[in-house]
Amino acid sequence: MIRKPLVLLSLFLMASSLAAAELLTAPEATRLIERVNKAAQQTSFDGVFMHQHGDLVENFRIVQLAEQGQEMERCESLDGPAREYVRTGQQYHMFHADTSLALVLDRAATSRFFPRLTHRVGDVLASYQLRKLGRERVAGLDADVYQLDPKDALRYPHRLWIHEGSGLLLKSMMLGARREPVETFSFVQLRLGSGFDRKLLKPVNPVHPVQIETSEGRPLQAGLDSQWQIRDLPSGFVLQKQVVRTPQGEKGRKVQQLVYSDGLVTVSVFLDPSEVKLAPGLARQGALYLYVRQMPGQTVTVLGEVPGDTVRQFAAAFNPR
Amino acid sequence: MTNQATTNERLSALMDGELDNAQAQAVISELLQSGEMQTAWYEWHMQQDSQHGHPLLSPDFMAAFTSRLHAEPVVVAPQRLRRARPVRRLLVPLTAAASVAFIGVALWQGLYRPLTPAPAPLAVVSEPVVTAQVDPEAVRAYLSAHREAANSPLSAAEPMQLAFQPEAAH
Repeated sequence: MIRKPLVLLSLFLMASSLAAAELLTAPEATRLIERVNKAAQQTSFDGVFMHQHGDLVENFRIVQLAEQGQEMERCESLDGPAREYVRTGQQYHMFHADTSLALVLDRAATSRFFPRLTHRVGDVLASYQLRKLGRERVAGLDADVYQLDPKDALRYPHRLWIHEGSGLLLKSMMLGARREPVETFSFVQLRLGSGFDRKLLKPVNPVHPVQIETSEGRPLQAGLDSQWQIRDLPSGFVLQKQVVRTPQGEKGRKVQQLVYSDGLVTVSVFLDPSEVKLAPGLARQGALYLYVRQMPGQTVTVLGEVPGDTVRQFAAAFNPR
Repeated sequence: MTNQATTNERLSALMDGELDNAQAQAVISELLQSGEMQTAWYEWHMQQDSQHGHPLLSPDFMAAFTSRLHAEPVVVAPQRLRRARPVRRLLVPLTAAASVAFIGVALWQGLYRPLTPAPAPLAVVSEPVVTAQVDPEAVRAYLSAHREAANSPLSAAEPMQLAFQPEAAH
């Protein structure tokens, strides 16, 4: 009686392992992501990376020194308006020449600055599975190529190029519904080790300290629970942050922004106690989808780099009480 | 079994362009008769495409293409154009050279393509039906709030072009 399910299970396992021979097991995947996170934290390097996002391509210089438990990092934009951050341990200092600076950074968001991957390994592996694709060269270095395949149709796949020797993430790419690169980070030049000039760690712009906060696991504020019934959120997404925003020139209007993340991508839900000018329904630009749901005196607007059905599901999950 | 193997061999030879005209005609008429051969034909091309890293077409590509082709106006060419023109003769060696050069380029691309296999296609996404523009200014505030919360603090807050296209409800 007990044997039968076991036989079935082993048959099923055999079949599934044949179907996806290159799939990593959960412990292997966890180990790999943890290795990437650790390498991003504990490796000294200096290099230049490219960031492609939609129709934008930007280059950044990045330097990191990790020695004797001390971590220092500096990153600056090389084209366009000057932007820079300097990190000492967990303290960030920033400079933006073009936009007014956000003085509060979210810890979860900082854990995703390239070449970090994510700090929420469990969340990521709940929604994605890792598959090894092969080997390629990035910035003159040999890398193993992996893909994070979504377990459902609610998100897009991501591809990772991981340096063999150090475990450092050399390149990462988010693919859209047609497998087109949506967002790519890639080192174009990288030198491992702490042999660089220490002057490279000195800020070149007048940087200001930035407060880092974490809002993970906090309950909803401002009585949101009593105003909105939230249920059937797309699976795998966890509330990461809640921000109250006042649109420019409209002091009375308070828009709640809820930021959800599955560990890799984020979706913003805006709860607006008014009817906005946007056309209701689904709209997209590249891989970015926008869904506007109008209700009497209320609007739910959802924005994120996820498939159209996901933003629609998010919008449907919020109902005024 | 033997017959099957030879069918496959003939089909493979056709795919590689190793058959002369008469043989090719024979295999093509066989191919038109046999659903099994057609499946093999499509599968082999799909394998070849994925080995070369060519993007896979959406499964309904052929249907969409055929319907668009039917919608194309028929061009009725005047008979006069068929008359041989002296320039044509000169053009032949040139075009031959051009096609050789093209094959050379294709091969070079094939050789230097990354070895990463193209993964299986995702679920089919139906093409958006564009009805009107979404007001970019109205979206901008949402977009920058989202970018600020989600992205690296160094990437630009907004894309250069803001052109949201509405999508028809599925």
